[in-house]
Amino acid sequence: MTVKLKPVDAVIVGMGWAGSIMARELTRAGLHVVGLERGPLRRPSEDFTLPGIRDELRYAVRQELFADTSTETLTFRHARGEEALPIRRWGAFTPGTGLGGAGSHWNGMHWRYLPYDLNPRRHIQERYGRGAIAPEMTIGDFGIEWSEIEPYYGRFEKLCGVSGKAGNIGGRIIAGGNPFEGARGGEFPNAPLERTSAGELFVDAAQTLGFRPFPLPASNASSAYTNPEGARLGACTYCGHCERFGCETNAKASPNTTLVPALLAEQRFTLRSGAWVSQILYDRHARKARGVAYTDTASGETYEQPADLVIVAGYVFTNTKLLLTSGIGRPYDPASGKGAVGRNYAYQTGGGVQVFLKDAALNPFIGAGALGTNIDEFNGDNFDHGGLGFFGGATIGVTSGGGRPIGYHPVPPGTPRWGGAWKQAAHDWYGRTLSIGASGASYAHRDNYLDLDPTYRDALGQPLLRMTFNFRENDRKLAAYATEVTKKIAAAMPGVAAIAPANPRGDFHVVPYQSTHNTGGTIMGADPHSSVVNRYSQSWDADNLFVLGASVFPQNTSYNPTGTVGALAYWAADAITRRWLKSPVALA
Amino acid sequence: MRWFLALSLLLASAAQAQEEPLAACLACHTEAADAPGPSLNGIVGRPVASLPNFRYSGPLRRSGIVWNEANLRAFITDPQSVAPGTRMPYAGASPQEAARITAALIARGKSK
Repeated sequence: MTVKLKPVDAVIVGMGWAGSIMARELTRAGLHVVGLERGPLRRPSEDFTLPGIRDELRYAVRQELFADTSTETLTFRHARGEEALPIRRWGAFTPGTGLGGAGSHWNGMHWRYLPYDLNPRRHIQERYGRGAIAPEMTIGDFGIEWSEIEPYYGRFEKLCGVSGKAGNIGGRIIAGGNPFEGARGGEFPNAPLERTSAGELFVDAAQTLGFRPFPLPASNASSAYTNPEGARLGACTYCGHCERFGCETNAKASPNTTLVPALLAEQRFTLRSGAWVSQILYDRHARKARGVAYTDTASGETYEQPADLVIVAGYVFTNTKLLLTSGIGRPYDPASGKGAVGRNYAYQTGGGVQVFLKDAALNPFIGAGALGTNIDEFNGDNFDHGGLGFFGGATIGVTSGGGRPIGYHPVPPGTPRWGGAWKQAAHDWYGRTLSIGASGASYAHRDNYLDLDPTYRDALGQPLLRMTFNFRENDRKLAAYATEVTKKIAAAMPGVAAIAPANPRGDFHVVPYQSTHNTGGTIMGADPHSSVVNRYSQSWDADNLFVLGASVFPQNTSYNPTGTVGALAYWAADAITRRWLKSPVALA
Repeated sequence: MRWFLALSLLLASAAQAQEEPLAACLACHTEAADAPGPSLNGIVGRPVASLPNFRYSGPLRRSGIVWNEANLRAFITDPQSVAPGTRMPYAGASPQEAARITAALIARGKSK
């Protein structure tokens, strides 16, 4: 029997970055908030400590911090008409679970979008003409201007103690930073991390070609830092165990370290872990969310948590699935192009080269998740797309994330796959190889989408979410173009023994890791028929329902999404606390 | 009143200067219940792993150390060589920096 709980002011689904930020802002505004987290409680002082946390087998290979595919996963297929099959082991991407969500096992690459990325449809039409965007490329605009979102990017950077170098403060271009970034209010909270020798090689080669390299903005603190919530971050030790791991020095910003201590000290906040939300309770006639239903994963008991305000802040797949199973909004139908929920799912594309050097000692075990150096000459619309046959771009660079013993043993093409010759090559090349990577945008396509699977179900008996996705012409051309740039940079390095370019993008494959950046499904827009939320993340179908996270992105850019997820959470929180609480109506 | 303010500001800035070498340490070694590192208050002369509310590693507990200037300096220079398997993730400071940190810890013990 379902237990009906006492109503609260607000209930939040998912306690990752977006949920934790919203919980903090709502409690600050005086609301009583319940945060529901599907996974376990995770406390850095107990769960992310030495020596256990640097166990590559446990965390990187056996994926301990990822969502549990034995209870819930998604099915995948390339195209309509195919039968989708469940993903039983994460590969291409690595969704999180537990307090902190994927924010506890991320690398910490903390980008701001380019101003172009906020409204690419408008920009492309203005620069290249109204007919430039093919009808099947269903990209859209956030409808938010740079000057509106910039302060929220700043707030999130201060929360995380981001290490970096500004390239544009108030319109003044600053040498050493990213000259293409939107004008920022101020410098980064922390100085850049120390560059590795692989990064130095990239800087020299890129500068030879006339490019302007800059340190990748890193939520890996370069020195001890106290954030505005009073949480302390330690200095990064360059241990090389970032993505897939928790951080034992609190140098990698996570919700667990930057926000949760302040939240747990807050009387108005209640955290429930092991609380798997199965439905948003929706009153179709009143067009209001009434709360959520959830299952306690330890006992199997079911609960209803009524609330005046419902915040859905799970991962892309969770958010989309919850709206679909709760019957909120019209599901997207690729045949007609009508409907909104599940629309514009996007991934990322990319390319790059491995560079084998005749003589080098790169010590790749020294690393940090976001210890990178990049160039943005080929990103966004920073270059002329006339005649190229694609839109969007790639951020190109070298990241020293840490060459761990199980996962990292680069060998030149032609090396045997096993045996003595492989062992010898793995030994010879470990310290003499670097990768120049190109992380590319993936633009929405009418045939890439999410819906409910007709066959497979999760542990609660609900349909799994089904992903229908493949790389499209835009993705493939972009990847090929970016890979050519990385080849040129590699060729400008001294003492190159061999250059191995990545394979051209063929069909999307869910097994090898590519980028864990999924977007879309509940996208933001100005039209209630083709989008799920307005520019404040407020549902078109219930003015007391807000959806947070990368599921609201109309398409994917080349950058890692977390910086924008955090900025949009603060932006939505301000709209709620300053406007909606006084007058709970549609904000746009 | 004014001299009192000036004096307390002076004292505060002197204390701050004294604490400066400890900035990196104090990110984790706080008084909070769930701090990643145990409190450093009164560490000099304290037997290792003796605070009741901190979960120390086995290797550190078994090391039998009583903290003094020499072993603190050695530990801060290379924690894993003094107590292999310690939970402290700090990679180690240069000998000069370790001496500064140790001096600050000793000074801190005298002022508290």
